[in-house]
Amino acid sequence: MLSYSKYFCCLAVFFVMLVNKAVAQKIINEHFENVPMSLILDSIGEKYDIKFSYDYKLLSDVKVSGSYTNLSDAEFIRKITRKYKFDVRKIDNVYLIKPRKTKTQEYVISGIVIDGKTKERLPYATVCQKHAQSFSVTNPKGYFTLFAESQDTVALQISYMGYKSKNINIVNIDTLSEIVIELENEDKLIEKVDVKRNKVKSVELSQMSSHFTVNPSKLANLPVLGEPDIFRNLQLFPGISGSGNSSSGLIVRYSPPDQTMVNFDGLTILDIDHFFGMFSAINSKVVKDIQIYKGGFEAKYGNRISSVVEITGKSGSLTKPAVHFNLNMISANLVVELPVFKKASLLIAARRSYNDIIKTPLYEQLFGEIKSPVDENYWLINGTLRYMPYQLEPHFNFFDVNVKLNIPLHKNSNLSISYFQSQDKLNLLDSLSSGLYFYQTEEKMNWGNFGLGVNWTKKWSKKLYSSLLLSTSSYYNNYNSYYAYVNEQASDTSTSYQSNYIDNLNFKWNNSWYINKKNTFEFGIDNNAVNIDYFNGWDTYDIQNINQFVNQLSVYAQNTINFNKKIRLIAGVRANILHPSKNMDFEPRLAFMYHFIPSLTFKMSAGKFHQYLNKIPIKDLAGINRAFWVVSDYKLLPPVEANHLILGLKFERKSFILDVEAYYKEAMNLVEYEGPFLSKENFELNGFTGIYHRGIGKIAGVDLLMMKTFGNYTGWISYTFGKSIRKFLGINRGVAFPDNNDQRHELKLVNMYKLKNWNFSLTWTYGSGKPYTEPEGQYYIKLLNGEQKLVSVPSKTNSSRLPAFHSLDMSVNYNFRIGQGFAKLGLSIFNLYGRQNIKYRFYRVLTDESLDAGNQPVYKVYDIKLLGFTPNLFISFDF
Amino acid sequence: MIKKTIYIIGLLWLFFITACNKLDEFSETAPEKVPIVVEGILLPEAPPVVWLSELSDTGDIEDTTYIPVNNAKVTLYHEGTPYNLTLFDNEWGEYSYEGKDLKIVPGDTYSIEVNYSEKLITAETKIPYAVKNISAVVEPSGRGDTVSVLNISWESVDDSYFYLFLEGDTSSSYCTYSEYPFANTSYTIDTAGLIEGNTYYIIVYSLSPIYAQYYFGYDPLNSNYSYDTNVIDAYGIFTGMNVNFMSFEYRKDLDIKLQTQSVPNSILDRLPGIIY
Repeated sequence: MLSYSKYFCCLAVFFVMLVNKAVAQKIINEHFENVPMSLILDSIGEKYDIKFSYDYKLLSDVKVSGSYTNLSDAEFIRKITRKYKFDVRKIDNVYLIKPRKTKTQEYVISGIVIDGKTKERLPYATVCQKHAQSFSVTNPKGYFTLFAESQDTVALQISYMGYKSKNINIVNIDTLSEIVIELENEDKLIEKVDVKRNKVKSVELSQMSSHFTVNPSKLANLPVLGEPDIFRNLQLFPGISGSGNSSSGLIVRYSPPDQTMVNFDGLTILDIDHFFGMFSAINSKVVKDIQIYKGGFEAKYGNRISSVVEITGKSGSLTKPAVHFNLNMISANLVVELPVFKKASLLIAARRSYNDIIKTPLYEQLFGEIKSPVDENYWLINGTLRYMPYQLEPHFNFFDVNVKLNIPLHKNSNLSISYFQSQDKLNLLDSLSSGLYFYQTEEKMNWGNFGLGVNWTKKWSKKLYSSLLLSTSSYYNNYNSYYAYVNEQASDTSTSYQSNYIDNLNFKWNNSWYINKKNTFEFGIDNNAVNIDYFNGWDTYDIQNINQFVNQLSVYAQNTINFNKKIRLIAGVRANILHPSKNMDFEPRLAFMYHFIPSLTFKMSAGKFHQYLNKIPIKDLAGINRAFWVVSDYKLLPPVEANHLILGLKFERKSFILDVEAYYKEAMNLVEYEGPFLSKENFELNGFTGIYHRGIGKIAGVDLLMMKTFGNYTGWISYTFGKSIRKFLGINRGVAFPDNNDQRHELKLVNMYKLKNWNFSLTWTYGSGKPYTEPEGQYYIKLLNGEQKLVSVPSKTNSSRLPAFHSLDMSVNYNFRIGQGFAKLGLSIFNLYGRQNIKYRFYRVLTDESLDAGNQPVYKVYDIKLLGFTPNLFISFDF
Repeated sequence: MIKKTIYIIGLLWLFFITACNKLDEFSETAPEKVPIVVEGILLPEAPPVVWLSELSDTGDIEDTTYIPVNNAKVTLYHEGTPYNLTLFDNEWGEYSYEGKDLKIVPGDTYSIEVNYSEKLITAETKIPYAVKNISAVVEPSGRGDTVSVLNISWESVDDSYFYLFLEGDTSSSYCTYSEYPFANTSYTIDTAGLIEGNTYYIIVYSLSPIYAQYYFGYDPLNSNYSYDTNVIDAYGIFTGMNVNFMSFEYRKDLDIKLQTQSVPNSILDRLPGIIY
């Protein structure tokens, strides 16, 4: 009985469910003849109580015809939407009807972006398709490739710093070949200023971490020592140390200058130093574009463990000649651009100091920082103490030359030949001759760079591009000193000499393959054959005699993946093979970017880096502060190795930028050199070679940039907070110590304002004290020859701090027409309030000749100062 | 979106704090050294003497005055036997051992312990052997017929460094010495200042490398590097030394190999440096 009841109940329940389902399923039987779909859905919805959501206007244009019989509502909806190419989704009992996403056809647009006036190609310009996910960046020769989404009209927006952005519409995209886009230079000197239009950018931050571009012509209005110096301007950005008067060597995120690769049109320049670091050897008037990678850079760059500065030089005007001349209180600069048979362009730039003809107050002031008085008859020459009682005039000059011949061979290929040379020379002579004695001391220093490169670029197709560079470059640094004293009873002579020569033969082959909209594959080879000679001698002693030859072959490959508008990934690897040691090093690299929204970006990069060419600072027997380059050949030294990890966040909206980056770097096999005679091991060998100490370094920091432009004003705040520590077994008893570049805080405030023909700028730089090693104490050791040897005891390495650095600098210039050209007259003042910033602290042993002392040697401390109040005037002409 | 931004900022902050912590772990503090200077020279046939002074400040002469340490306990060890050194009467930081039972033996190792201000300072040294079979020969210099040199050579049984004096007798003020210690077992002197018929004394010191280094180079001021020291946790030097002598009467055809001879006190008194 019970079982029958159970069976009946189940059956009843099942029947009810079935009925309900039948009732719930509305069975549709309809026929339509050319009826708008919107009407159909309205009537169906009302008749069968079905809810729809759709674009009424869109569906009103769709006419439906056909019979739909015995269909459920779901079947009916599915059939009708499929037939007329709509997508449908049911959400909360509502049928959502949308147009179906069709796979759009892609078209490849390629071309070049050029300066409208000079026809010069513009590197790293941005080309993007409006209202789509496509964008591209021109390569160093101005070529670009863009995968455009097919539309009736393709709208492109092209922008490049210092130029007016341009919008163009391409109508018949399928018949399009190469396009040439001309941009107008916005850096017009004499025009009525339109406030709304004057948005010339000074700097552009890349979407990827630690990468930014600067506008050299815009930054030329910042305070200058002499003439505009790009490297001095770069020091106003976070992560690049600016607490000092030197501009040639960049200290990027606490790493020394030799760990930054500086490329000029593909040529690697080792020492960009003029006037003992006061200026860089890069003539800013020949610079078209500068890309700075503060860390975590891509696989196509190598052989440095910290950062890269990639400089693209101007090619010269292809239309009409142009001349630029600048005269300031240190040097004169002439740049000439000439079109050659309307097919090619020639650029010649030469710059030279003229202090051997006229010594200006600025020259005296700058040279005073190199040659500082210490005591009567004693001078510090670039950190070296010299006795020079008679003070004959020093002879110093510098020059640099750039020549570039650019030949567009064909619309898709280009040949350029670049030549670069720079030199500094200093001769110091102190001499006196009388009947009783003859005294002479002479010092000669000269250093410089030379580079010659031939670059051939070829665009094989819309998607494949190659660049081949063959170059030779050299660097040299010589020092000779001679001392002689002769009288009737005795004579004494001493000589000291150092020379460092580097010759490099380089072959570079870079390729870019734009596979599709999402993928760009880059690969290449970089081969360097390096020959190094370094000799250091003192009298008859050979302290060091190094001869090295190394061939370094690097191959790299990287892929840039644009997943969508929000996410980009760059993954690459670089392999370095050294000969003759036959060692191989691998360097994986990774960079990632994510847009939360177009104005907010998260970025990350990481990688491994090696450096084979290293600059070793030395303080040798004669106390001369000289550095020399050696290559890591696994015999003398292993390569320096580093790992980077960088995380950042960038917010950019209209004319406001906020960029924050945190970074961590580790370096292994760092080298410090201990001169001869000071180490037990060295002495036991009875040799004078000195010792190379190897150690590790760790750096962590945060860079912050806040930039705002409104109207004619551009300003930014740059702040760096960080720490850099090193550890060497043979230094500071093996305990870690602050690096020489360690500086806890650095703050820079930059203000630029343009008012009609006037440009004003005011910058303030603050840096907390840099470390130095104080002597902790001293004692005497009795020697067998009767001498009381004074022994100084250094305290813990870099345990003391110099006072903080701060300086207020200003610049004002006025632009005006002169005939067919333009002129600019300017005044810059460094250190407006004359702060006595200390460059370094120098200790010296003196003999106290007082009765009490009994000729005992004692120490004296000297603070060597940086520049005080330093004005500079300049005038330049452009025709 | 705001949440995501906050998470990212938090991630950046966490990353930076972690990085700074890694730097802090990397840094350690070196143990402080006791600011006293130990200067100890051990010579065979001479009583051991150790001088203790305070490390002077750098600066004006008043700061660099020698300040003796007179309240330390100094013990010398040889083959495990302690010998307590006592402060000399002059209270000039000079500690010596007056007993006759302590011998300074070439080839043996000696260590020192200085108890000062509740800190223990130690050092150890090995006594070098004296050179043997000193010989001297006059030879042409190769620079001309009339120019000759005195070639002095000897034998060494260990890897000491050497320092040489050539001293005239009481009738002469002649004295020359090597510019630096050296490892070769020979030395050459120009005979220009030598007078035929006069007596000269060759004194060859055997030095430890750590003492020899003080003769070299420039002062390590403005540098992170310093002279090496074998004094643990303090400054100065504790070293052994040895010496041998030879005398000869100078002739232009001199070629002699003599055994060790004594040097008159009158000569020893004129020698600068350690030996009085």
